[in-house]
Amino acid sequence: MRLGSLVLLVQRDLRRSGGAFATAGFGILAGTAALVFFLSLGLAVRNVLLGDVFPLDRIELEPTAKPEPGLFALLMGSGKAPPGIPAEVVSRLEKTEGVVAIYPKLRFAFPSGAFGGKEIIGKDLGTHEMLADGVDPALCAADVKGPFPFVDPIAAGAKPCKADADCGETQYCELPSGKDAGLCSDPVPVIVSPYLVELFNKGVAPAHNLPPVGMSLISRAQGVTFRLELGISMMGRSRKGSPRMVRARLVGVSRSAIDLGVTLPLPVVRRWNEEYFGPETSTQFSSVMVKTRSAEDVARVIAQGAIEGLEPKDTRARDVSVLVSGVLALLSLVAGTMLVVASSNIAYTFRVLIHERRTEIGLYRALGATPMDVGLWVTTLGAVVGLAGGIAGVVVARVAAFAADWVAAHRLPDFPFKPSSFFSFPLWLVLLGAGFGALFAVLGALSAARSAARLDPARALTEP
Amino acid sequence: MAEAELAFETEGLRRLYDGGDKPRAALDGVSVCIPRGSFTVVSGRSGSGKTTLLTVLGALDRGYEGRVSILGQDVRRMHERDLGRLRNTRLGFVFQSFHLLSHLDVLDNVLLPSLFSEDGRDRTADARRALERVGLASRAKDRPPHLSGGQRQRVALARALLCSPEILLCDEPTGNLDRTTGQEIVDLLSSLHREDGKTVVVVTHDPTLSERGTHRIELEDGRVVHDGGAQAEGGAQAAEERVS
Repeated sequence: MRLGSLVLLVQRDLRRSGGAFATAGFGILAGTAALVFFLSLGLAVRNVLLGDVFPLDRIELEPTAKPEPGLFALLMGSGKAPPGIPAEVVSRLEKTEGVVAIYPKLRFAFPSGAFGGKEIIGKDLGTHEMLADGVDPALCAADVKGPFPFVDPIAAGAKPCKADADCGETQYCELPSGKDAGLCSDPVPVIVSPYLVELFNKGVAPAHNLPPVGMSLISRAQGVTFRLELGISMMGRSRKGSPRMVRARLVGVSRSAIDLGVTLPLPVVRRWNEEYFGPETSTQFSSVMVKTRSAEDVARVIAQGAIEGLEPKDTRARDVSVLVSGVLALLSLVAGTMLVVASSNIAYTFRVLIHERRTEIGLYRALGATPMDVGLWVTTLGAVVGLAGGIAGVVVARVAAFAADWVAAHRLPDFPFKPSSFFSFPLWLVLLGAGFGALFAVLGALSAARSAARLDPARALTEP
Repeated sequence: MAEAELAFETEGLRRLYDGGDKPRAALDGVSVCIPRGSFTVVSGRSGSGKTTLLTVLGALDRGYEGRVSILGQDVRRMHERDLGRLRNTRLGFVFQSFHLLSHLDVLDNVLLPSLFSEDGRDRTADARRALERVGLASRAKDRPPHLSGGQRQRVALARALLCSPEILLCDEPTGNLDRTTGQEIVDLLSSLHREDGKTVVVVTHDPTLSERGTHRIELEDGRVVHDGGAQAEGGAQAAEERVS
C-alpha cells in the first residue's frame, strides 16, 4: 500500500472512532505521564544530589582509620602527627586508569579560629574553633573567578617586615612564631563551600536574626577580609608556636572546599602546620581528591586506594546513587506496569475493533488489499494512537511538574540545596516518553493486526 | 477452448467446511470453464455452493482443493501481492449487502479501490464517470444511509467499475432489492456486458437475471448439474456444454 493511502485510511479511522481510540490511548497517556514524571523527577534529584551535594565523578581518599586508641591514650595524647599520604602514593594513584587529575589536601594540624563578616552581614561573627583544609589551588581554579587569585600570597621578592604597619593598608606582616622578621603578604585567599553558605542561611542566620546570604551577595562580597587566629582555639593551644592573627580574604565559593570550615592554598597550610605542629606534617598529605573520567572509574580508584591503605572519606555519593537508582527503578517499574496494562487495553480495543470491522476488512481485501496491507494499517493505527497518547502523556507530565514545582516553591520550607525545579526534561526524555507510548501501543495492536491480516475475506463478506 | 479465451477455469474444485462431526463439502469436484466476454449466471438452491464458487473465482478463498485459473493464471501459484493486484485491476465485486462504508460519502466509497492500487493515480474523474455510468452523478456527496437500496447497489457497481476491470463478479446483486429496482440493476449489468464487453459472473436466484445470461452454471449440493449455453436476451452464443 502506498504511504498516502495508509495516511488517508488512518486519518479516516481516527475521525470515525476517535472516542474508542481516545479511551484506548488514555492508558498509554497515563503510563507515559507517570514514566516521564518519575524519570524527570529522578533525573533532577539525581543531578542535585550527585552533581552539587555529592559529586559522583570524584572521590576523596584518606588513610584507613586506625582502631580506637582507648580512653587512656585519648587523655594522654599521643603527640604524633595524624596519619598522612606520602607523595609517592599520590603519584601511583595518579597513574590509575580513568584518573583525570589528583589533588592532594592538607588539614590544619593545629587549633585555630576565625572572626569577621561585617562587610557581608552587618556585624562581626566569630568562631573560636575552626576547621581548615589546604588544597591544591588547581582544584578550585575554575571556581575562583574574581580579581583575587587562590594562590600562596607570599610572592617572591616580598618586602621584609616586623609588624603589620611595615606593609601598608592592603597587606599584613606574615611573621612566623619565634622569628624576628617576616614578609609582607596579601591576605590569605580563602574559599568556602556552597554547603556552608546554605547552612548559614538555613540554620545560623534565622537563629541569630541575620539576613540570609544569597549567592549574588557572596559574589559581591568576594574580596572582603577577615581574621584568622592561628595556634589557639577554645579547646587549647598548639603544641608549638605562638598564637597570632593573620588576615584572610574570601575569594570564592567552590564545591571543592571543605563543607564546614575554610579552605586555603595548600602551601600556606603546609607552612603553618610546620610552624604549629612540626616538620613531620609537611611531607605528607591528609587526603587526596581524585577526579575520574566517569562515575564508573571511581570503583577502580577505590580498589587502588585500598591497596595503598586508603579508604573513601565519604561514601554518601555511592549510597545516594544506589538509593536514587533504586527509587527510580521502582517508580519506573510502576510506570512500566501501567504501560503494560495500557498495552493490554489497546490489544482488547483493537481486537473488538477488528471484529466489528471484519466486513470492511474483507471488502478491502476484495478491492485489492493484501494481508500485509491490512496488518500495516492496523499496526500504524496503533502506533498513531500510542504516539498521540505518548505525546499527551509527556505534556501531562510537564504540566504536573510545573504544578509540583509551584507547590514546592510556595509551600515547602527552604532547605539546603533546594532546587529551583525538582524536574529535568531533557529532549531524550521527551522522545523516550513519546516513543514508549508508541511502542507499547504497537505491541498491543500487533495481535489484532495479525488477526486482521489473517482474516478470511470470503467469510467476512458472505457471513452475516 | 484455448485457455486465453477463458476468464475462469476450475478443475476438480473441492471446498470443505467444518461441519461438526465430519467436514461438509460446499463444492465437490467442480470443473467449469467461464469464457471471456460471457454473461455467466450461477444458479442453484440455497446452500448449493454458488457463493463459495464466486469467492473462489474471485481469489478471496484459497482454502480449496483442485485447480483454479483466472485469466490463464493459476491462483495457487500467485503471490498475495499479485492476487491483490489482480483483484484491484481486473476483477470487480458486487455484493448482495452492497458493503458500502457509511462514514464515507458516495464518491469516497467509489474511490476505495484506488487506495490499494499501485499506480497512485488520482481517480476522482474515473469515479465521477463511473457514477455517471450508473446514473448517480448527482449523489456523489451523499452518504450511503441516505440512498435507497437500488441506489446503494448502483454505488457498489460504480465502485466495482472504478479501475475498469475486465470481469465483474456479482453475488446476488438483486437479492436485497425489489423487483423494479432489481430490474434496473439487471439492465445495468446487461449493458456493461453488451456495450462494454465485460465478463459478468452473477450468482443469483433471480429468474429475470438468469434469462440474461449467455452461459449458465447450475449447482446442486456443491456439484455442477449444468454448465453450458443459455438463451439470452437478443440471442446468445452457446458455450461449450459441460456437465460434471
